Amino acid sequence: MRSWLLKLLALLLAFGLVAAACGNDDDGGVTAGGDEPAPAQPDDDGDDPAPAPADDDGDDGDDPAPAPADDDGDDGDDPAPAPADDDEAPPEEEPMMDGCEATVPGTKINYAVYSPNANMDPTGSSGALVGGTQIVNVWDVLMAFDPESGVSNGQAAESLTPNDDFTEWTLKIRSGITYGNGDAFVAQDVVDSMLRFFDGRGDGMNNRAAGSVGLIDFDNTEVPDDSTVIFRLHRGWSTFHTLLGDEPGMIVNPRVIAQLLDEEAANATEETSAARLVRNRMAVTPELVNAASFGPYEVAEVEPNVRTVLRARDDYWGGPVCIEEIEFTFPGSSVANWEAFQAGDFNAAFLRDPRVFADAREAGAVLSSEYQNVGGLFLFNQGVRGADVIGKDIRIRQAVHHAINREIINERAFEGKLNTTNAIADEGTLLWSPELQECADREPAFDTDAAAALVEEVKADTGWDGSLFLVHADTDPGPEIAQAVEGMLEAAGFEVEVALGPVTTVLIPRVIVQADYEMAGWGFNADGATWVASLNDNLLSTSRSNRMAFGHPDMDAALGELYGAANVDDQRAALAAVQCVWSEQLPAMVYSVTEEGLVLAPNVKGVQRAGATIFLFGNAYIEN
Amino acid sequence: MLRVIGLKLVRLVPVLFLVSLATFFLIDLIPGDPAAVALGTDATIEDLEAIRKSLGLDKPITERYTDWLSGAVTGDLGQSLRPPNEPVSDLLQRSAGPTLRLSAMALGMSFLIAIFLGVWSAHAAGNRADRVVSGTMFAFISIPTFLAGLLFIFFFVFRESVPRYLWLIVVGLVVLRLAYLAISRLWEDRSDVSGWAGYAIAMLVVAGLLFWVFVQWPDFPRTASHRYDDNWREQIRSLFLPALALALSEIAVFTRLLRADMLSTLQEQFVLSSRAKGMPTWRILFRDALRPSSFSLITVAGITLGRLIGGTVIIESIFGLEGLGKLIVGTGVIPKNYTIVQGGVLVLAVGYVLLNAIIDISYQYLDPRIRRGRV
Repeated sequence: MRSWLLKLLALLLAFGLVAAACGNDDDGGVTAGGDEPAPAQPDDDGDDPAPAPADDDGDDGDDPAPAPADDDGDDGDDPAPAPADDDEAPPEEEPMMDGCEATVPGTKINYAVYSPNANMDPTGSSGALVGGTQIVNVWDVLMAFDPESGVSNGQAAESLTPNDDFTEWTLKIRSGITYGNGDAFVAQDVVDSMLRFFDGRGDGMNNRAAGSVGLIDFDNTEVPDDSTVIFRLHRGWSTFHTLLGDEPGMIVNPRVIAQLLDEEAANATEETSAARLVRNRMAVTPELVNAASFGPYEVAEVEPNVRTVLRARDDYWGGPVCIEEIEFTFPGSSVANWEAFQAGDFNAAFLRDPRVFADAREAGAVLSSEYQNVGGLFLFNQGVRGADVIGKDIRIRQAVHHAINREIINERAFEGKLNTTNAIADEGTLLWSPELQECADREPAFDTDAAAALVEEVKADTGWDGSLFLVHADTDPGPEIAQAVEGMLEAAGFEVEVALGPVTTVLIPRVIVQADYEMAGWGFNADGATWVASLNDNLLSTSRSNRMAFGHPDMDAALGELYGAANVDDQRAALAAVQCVWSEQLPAMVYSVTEEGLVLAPNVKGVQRAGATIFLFGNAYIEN
Repeated sequence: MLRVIGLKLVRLVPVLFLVSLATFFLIDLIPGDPAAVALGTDATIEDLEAIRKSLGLDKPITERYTDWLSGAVTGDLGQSLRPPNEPVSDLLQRSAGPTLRLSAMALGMSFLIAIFLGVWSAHAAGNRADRVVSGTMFAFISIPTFLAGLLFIFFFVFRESVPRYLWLIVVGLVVLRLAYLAISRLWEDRSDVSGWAGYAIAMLVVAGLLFWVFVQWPDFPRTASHRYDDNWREQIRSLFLPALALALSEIAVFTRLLRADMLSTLQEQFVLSSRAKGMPTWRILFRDALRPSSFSLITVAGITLGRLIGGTVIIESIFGLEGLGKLIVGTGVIPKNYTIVQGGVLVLAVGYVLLNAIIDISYQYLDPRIRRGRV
């Protein structure tokens, strides 16, 4: 009996120890928001954006872009949180309704990222999906883009004013901003920082941003005084302000960089430039990043490609930063992000899956999201590097359009939750117009018989055997998309061979390196802030990033108009013109827009957008 | 002891050479391009060529291997091909922590449960309890690790009331059983106070402890991606589910193994002698019979630990844990980041051999015959 008893007690003791270890830890520096069961409060419409910088006139976005920021800096557009009435900070247990007077100890944002970032340097980051939010909170931006209105507001810049044809932009920076090392932020820094996008091309380089910075005519750009830069561009660009809300608008103290370049000069080789060594060094050295930046947060810990921890900067130029810490980690996928958010592991999570967004809306989650136009499409190889491919023949591109029913892709791969479209701007986005949709509807409609007839015609004319090589990423639900498309194409007489695999080992090598594809699953991801550059990069006949070898003078002309469009109405008209050429020439087949953005715990307030889906936490606070 | 370790290390050299050679050339057969990983979808063909040259990927495979090998023998495992090109040794060191903690916790849980169940099962061989344990172990061993992980997430994170109230039912059953035993003893012989009072006290202690666990039931996180380097309780909380998922099949293997060895040991003369001397059962089982029955268990545990350290990639992926498995497979094998794979395999092989050397040494401690045989 005693032995039985002892055994039982031993077991219980073991369980007791585990349970004790797993008990609630009330003193462990847990976040104010992370413990909340999120999301708890239904939102009226489920998709309200997080508070964005005020556009006080409340118009519909017809302003000439961009709206200059106020000069006095005190009418509510300031990024600084509104001060509380009392002199003393409110006690922690009191509800904090609007900002704070000082950083609130113990407050934390646990942020689930879409993909971890390798580098904190803006020249080594690549947009919202890979590190955008991490770096913007460290570097800050000159202008913050509001996707709702299409207008940018001054952040570290006081104003940005274009001339009549958008070839010249005058930037005024705020005074009194200092970097982490105490250096003053001056206008020349803007130019020097942007020029870094041309240095040390190689691994980790932000080619997308570099392409856009290339439109600045630096030889003729002037810095008349310490607070003014007069940008002169190679061409008129009415949405140039969006560039200053992106990585080029994140200013890196050039004096710190110069010193680092000196230090690394001895280690540089023909293959590995000093600029690249500096970028790599900054990726693992928080002190360097903190010395060279002036954003609301400093880097506290960094593990490249794994996690980043930011801590509130106590001398932020925009006033007190309420939330003490932000930890960015990577649960593994959009689904994992959403599940972990629901479980309360995170109070902010980046999502990018229509099925997850549908679940989040159903749960009444607070979302701040944006549609990425041309998010889902199929590229056609039209002779990259002189290849003799069947996609050159427009009848094949027409046949594919006839053969594929977007709703079948939606049902088979996305449970009917995908936002399908045949247009390059979806109806829910700012630049959609009835004219654009009218052009989009001119593309060949779903008609398997018509597709089959075209396939037979091409076979008869050219001796082509009907084969088509489709390359697609295997990321969920890539295999289902490929399978659905394969079935529809084969029903029209194509003989489809499919290559599925990871983006980095199959899609990029096949499409970019070897140009070994005839049709490929891809995405241009043109959001409100990047659509001009994105379409230009992918469709302009002379673009180095044109993966399809597509080129047409009408498209080049339409893209030129897009760059110069003066206001939202003009931009809509220009984009409609691009759509008309697209529907006629069929460079690729669009099938969906991709929604991406942040789900936030209901008590996280004041999150501001710096780009379409890049989020600034400088004004954010956690409501008790 | 030093001689044993020395011999093991000497034997390690050809093993490591062959392993590294095979790994290197096998990885080269995988389709893909590490330069594409470095550049992403914004890459241009010119950038890819430049980066390939910069990373030495334009060199013949034999030259790349000898370059890597010459560095490795001097302790330099090279740099990751992925930006920001960190030293592989740093990446391995960083990833080893979470994996070691997870593996140790899984192994610890397996040991704790398997020793109790294995000994009990052997002691009660053939009766109903033994059959229940055996059946349960077959069920455990049949559940793939990934499925266990997903099931645990579903029940412990999103339907936490299910395991919690199941626990309450178990508490109730245990308490009822103890109450029944106490009353039976009391009914049989009121004068045997130590008998019935023991059950009564046990009932109260058990009820209290188990109910306390029910009340304090923790909120298990969906992911283990957060780091709690300075908070061991949070570490245990975040690693509990992945560790349990890994432990499930190990519990079954260890229990079956220990049961079989214990059954054999319990037939030995010295056990009979202990019984004849009137030693209590717990002492015979845990002090006399367990030690000589644990050779197979320890050997398998060593192999298991080695396997867990390098092979937890699936569970690490499900729970978002940035460990060694995810580093070697996700960051190394899939994108052909061969320096990480080579460095990782090398470190794992060394660890594996050292672990087995430690196990060999532990035999001497466990069995005096081996120890004295060497003297």
